[in-house]
Amino acid sequence: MAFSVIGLQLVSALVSATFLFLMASGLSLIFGVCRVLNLAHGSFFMLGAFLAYSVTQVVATSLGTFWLALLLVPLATALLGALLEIVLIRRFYGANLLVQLMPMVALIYIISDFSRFVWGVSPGSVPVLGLFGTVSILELTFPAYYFVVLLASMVVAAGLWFVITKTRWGILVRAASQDREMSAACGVNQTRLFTTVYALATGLAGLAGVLAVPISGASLEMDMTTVVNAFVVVVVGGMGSVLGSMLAAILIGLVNAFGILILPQFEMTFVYALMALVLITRPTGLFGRE
Amino acid sequence: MNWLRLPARHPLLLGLLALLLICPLFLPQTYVVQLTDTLLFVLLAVSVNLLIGYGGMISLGHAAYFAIGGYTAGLLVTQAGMPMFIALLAGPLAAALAAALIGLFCVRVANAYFIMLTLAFGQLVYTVVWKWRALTGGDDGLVGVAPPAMLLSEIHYYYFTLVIILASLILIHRICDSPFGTTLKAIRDTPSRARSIGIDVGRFKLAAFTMAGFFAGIAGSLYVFHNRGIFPQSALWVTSTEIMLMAVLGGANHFVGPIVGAIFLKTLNFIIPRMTEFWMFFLGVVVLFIAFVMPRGMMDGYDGLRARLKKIRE
Repeated sequence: MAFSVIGLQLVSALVSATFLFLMASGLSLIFGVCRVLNLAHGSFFMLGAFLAYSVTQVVATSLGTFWLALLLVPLATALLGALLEIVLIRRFYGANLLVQLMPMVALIYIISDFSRFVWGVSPGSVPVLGLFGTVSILELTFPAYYFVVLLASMVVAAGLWFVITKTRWGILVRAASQDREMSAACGVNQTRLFTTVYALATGLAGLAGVLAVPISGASLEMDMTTVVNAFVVVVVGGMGSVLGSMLAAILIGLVNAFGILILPQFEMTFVYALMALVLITRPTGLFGRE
Repeated sequence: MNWLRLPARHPLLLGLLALLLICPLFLPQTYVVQLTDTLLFVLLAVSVNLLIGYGGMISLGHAAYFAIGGYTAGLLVTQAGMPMFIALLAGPLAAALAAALIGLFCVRVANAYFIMLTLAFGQLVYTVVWKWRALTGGDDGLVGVAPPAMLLSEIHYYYFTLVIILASLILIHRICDSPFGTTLKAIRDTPSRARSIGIDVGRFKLAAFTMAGFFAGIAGSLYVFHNRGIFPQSALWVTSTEIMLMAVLGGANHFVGPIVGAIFLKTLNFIIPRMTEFWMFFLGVVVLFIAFVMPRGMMDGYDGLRARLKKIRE
């Protein structure tokens, strides 16, 4: 295999790992703290992408507006996530898994049709990829935007690590995910904690959506495609571990990027084979707890 | 004969059966087609409830086995020129085989992991069906699957479907009522206790998963002749969540719950899209409403209502 091909696939693997990581870490956080499976996580991703599309449509397709969208849209999805947590999701904490699934599926349906109503069936694109220019490394040319995405994901990963390990809020999150009853008994305001966790996770999903839109555009199918990919990452990495999500995202990004070279039509075969292998050897995922 | 007592215990069911037998004779063709479609989804909902209600395994990938059954039957007829009855046998068997294979991985995990995995494998089947153009026709679908002349009329096909669906429902009811079904319920309630009294939990779950896949395959292979073809969308997550919702909205802890749910959802699906283009939005609102009002399903709501009425009368 030529050096250039390997280099290109490596970078695109890392870029797709970014989106997987942003999605899977949010899913993992919500599951760890709130104990609900946020099936509608992909819907926030899709909303993020469509909102970024709208921002650039309404204002202008320029670098400035893209940065603006990158700042505002995650805030908007976080706000929506917090709002939905307060009026809807919260009422289903502690219910059995089957009952929790109903509002989630309802949200997916409603957000999907809402997006179709607002943005229509044809996919929207935000053509800013060219505006970022290109970067050449060792005779290889990459879109500079790829490195923006990688940088953003590194900032987020470092920020997440800092917030979870160093801040008071992070301590409360870890306490709640380890033993919810005990942390409640110690006087932690769980209601507020859960809302903030939900907001952070849906904000990350929105951020992933904005970052993805210059590369893959915004379309109505992206909600479930993305959340299913994030599920695969969570199954491989193990639920409840941010580090696990990150490593699994990189692993799956790599398998996907190189699988596409071997079987262009059925590249996901390799990802599923990897998942099957993990399930046979470690059913709780590579970094999962029992 | 346990299953003979079932209609007697549920007078509603007996009335429904009479309606199903007589009504189509007086209905216009569109409604007969719709009824056949509803029957197929009744079987899908009841079969997924073998997992959800009896096994405590929430599957969000049931449409995959429906599609595999449909595509296998359809391909055997169009590509290999097989007669219909062989296709109707091979479809469910292929679906069961796929379910056994996928189940091998899915039953290793439980709860939320199970949901994620079944959804992921369901989307895998969808993607394969959609991308494998050479075999399945991709987006264009697999078309031109017709039943033999005897079953070409909608009403004949309806009664043919009714017989097979009823037989399947009776069989599933027998399975649920058998020691196998009881063991499954024991595993659902406390897996660790079931394991400690010597039950091979994984094997029972896998058997249930395979059976559910088999019955979904029956619905799929009947569907492909009914619809004269099949499209990749049949395997999409939307179909899977709809099947799951039928079982849950109807009431997963009742045998008849999924039947009620399937009829309810299919009736809505017949009426609403004629009024608005936003069927999914509407369905989402309905699901939210039921989640708040009767989270354990309509059959539970019905039971609660009956109990309350009885109290008032006393």
